[in-house]
Amino acid sequence: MNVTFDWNEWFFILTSAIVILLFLPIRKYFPPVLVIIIWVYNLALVATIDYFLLATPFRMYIFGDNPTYELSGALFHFFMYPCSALIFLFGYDRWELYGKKSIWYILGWSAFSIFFEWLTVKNHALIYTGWKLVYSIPVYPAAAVLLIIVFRFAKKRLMDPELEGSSKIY
Amino acid sequence: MIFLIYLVINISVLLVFIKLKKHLHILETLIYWMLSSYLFQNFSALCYMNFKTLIIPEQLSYEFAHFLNRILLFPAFMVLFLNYFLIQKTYKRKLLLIIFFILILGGLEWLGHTTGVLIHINWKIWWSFTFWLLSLLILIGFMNFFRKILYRGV
Repeated sequence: MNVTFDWNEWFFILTSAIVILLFLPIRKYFPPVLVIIIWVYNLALVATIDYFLLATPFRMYIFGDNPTYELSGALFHFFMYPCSALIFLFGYDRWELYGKKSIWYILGWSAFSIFFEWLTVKNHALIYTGWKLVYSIPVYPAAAVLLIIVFRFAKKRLMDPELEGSSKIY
Repeated sequence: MIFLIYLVINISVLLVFIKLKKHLHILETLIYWMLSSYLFQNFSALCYMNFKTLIIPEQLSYEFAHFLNRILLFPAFMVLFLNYFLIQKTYKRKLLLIIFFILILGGLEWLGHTTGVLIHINWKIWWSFTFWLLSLLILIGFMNFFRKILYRGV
């Protein structure tokens, strides 16, 4: 481990802070139970994918300064992805972007995500050691569809009578 | 070969898990599973990538076996622990259950070492017990917190 606190660490901190600030105004839109479900789901999903691609045998990319598990990567796992997912779901649910509308919404978010990944690479926060930006193109729409499936499943199951109306918010 | 062995173990455990009677809501199972996997993956990643006390052999078969273990095998046992912890009435039984599952999870870790999937280097055995104890305590804490939110009437 040889972490130097330079621009890429600031990049992680600043972008995470921005996304938290964007999430704060909408934090009460979803019930706390749904926020926790989406949060933990995202945390586990990105940690799984990153560990799978980052470690042996693929070693596709590294976060930060060297090929170890850095705090900056964990910061992204903890705040960047879950907050972004909740902002994504807020738009999807608030403006009822279902059916055909959801395709455009997902494509729009995927385009932004690719742009953000490119920005992360340019700021040396993410360093490719085998991965290419084009590989990420199918990943974001797939992740968005999966997120919507989990969200709809959770929303439906929160209506279960055994939960005694814990999700009567809908 | 090692991947096939672990594939059979993982699928068997998964099938048994599905069959067993659950005391947890489906959303609880999902979320505790995710958290369990996250805890074990962090333990594995930190010890493998940073402390170099765990080694995953540079072979696809071993890597995929460990991948399966960290997303299926270990989380399945950790969620089963919560499933049974929930119905224990006395502190004594709860304590015995914690010890029992620490031994199971530690045993699975030892099995990983023996089969060469996750090799321990300069390892102290109490590190394993401490990790599993902490993980189970975190899971219990999280379950108590999550159930309060999930089951509260609005």
